[in-house]
Amino acid sequence: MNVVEIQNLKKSYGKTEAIRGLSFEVAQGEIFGLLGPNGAGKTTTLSILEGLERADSGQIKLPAKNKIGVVLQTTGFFDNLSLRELFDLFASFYPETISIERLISRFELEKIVDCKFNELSGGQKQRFVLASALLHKPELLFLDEPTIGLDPQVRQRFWDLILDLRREGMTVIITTHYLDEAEILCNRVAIIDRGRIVACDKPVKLINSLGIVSRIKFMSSKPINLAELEKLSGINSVRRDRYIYDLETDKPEIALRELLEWEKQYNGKIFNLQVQQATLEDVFLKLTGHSLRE
Amino acid sequence: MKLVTTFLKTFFRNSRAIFFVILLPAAIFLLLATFGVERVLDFQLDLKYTDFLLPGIIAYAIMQAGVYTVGYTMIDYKRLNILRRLSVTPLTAGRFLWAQTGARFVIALIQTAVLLVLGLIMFSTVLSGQVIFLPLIILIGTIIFVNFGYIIACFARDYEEAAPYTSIAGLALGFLGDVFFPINNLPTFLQQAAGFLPLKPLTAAMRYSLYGVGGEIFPANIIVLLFWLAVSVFVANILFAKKAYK
Repeated sequence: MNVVEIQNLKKSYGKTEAIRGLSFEVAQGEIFGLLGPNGAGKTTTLSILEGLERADSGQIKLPAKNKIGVVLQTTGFFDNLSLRELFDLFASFYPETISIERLISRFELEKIVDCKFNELSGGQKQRFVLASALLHKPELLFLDEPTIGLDPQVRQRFWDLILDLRREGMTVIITTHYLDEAEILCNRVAIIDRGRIVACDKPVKLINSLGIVSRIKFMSSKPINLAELEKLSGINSVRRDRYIYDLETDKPEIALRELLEWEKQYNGKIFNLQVQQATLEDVFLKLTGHSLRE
Repeated sequence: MKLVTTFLKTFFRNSRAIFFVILLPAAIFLLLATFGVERVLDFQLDLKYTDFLLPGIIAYAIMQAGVYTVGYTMIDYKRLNILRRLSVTPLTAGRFLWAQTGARFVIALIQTAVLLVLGLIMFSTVLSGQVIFLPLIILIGTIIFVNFGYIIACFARDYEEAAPYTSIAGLALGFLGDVFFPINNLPTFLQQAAGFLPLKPLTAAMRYSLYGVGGEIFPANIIVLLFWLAVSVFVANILFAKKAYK
């Protein structure tokens, strides 16, 4: 059963088309990722679904507002209230809520429940924000760039909480430009570029669909003519991103052996050599011709 | 109701808000009343100056609390994404505004009580009017001026942008409000303009309520105030939902 159905969603700001006919569905219990660089249209899409913005056209099917939980990209709470008072306040907006004590214990907020929101660290804030979004036991949860600016350890802890929600059957729509986040959390991702969905599937399927198995990356002490690298066996394509040479290959063993052989007669030195599995970044690059971080 | 108590809690836990909304008007009243302004300027008063000033200061404090304090508080809520967070809950902009207005009414009652006690104890004010109307007049005044604050917050993104709006509103209303001095000596067109702005009718209604003076124009003042109330509520509700509460 689909919890969310979006058909041909469009939104413009003046002459700028932020969203150009997005369509997707999200099934119950699915974590669905909207993936794209800044300005791709993912936050605008989420803002429309959250009711913060109005679409110019398109059809939207969502649960009722009191069945939706939202974690905004940046959020604030009343300065002078403790977390417990904030829980009480937000609980008063909904006809039905789960036990605040259970929520406090689940999100390990016991020690900070009498603190003010502004006194919390980034990770504590994000745990509270997520807990407050789940207070009314929503059917659907929106997470807008939930781990932006958090350190890696805190991000991983946040992922554990989201994965727990997935195990409980919660439907989640998440926007992110962290590829590892999308690969770990999402059942399916829609890759958005310039307001359009360019691909939508399971992360693994998207990666496999490209036929790219691996990448060999390295740096060089001297500039290398890319044509020389392209001649090596097993190499499908070659790119240079500033100082990093990036070779795409579906036969990493052969390509690596060839590269090391070639290095012997090369009068420079290659270093920081890495062999990587293909990622969603590669999918994005292949589909759009540019990097997620550009 | 929970939201009203939340707003009251946030107010009473903010020492600066208490200073500006409750203590400062009281200090201004004490200063002007003891200074003896009536001896410096030649006023034609039916009341002694402290009695003239007291309802004026009460009305002025209500205006200031609405236009300035509520305006800036709403800008903070907007800037800190508090309104955004609330808007993704089932809480509507209308319910939010009425809860804020309710809390501000309670604060205005406290503010008025402090000023009245000062007048009664320190300046021997005698309440000889229709005091029963006072809460109603405070309520109407509060609604009008907090809605002015909401409207300002819709147009201003930060304090700097809000400053011209609050200054113009505060200065015009204060100058023509019959607050610190009677406006009988002003040019006729300014007196007429003052009658149509909300502060002078509020001040006059307060004077009638406290001392029974100006009973003949009390209904007209209430009509002007109700007009401002309807317009400000209507405009603020539409603008706030569209421009601020998201």
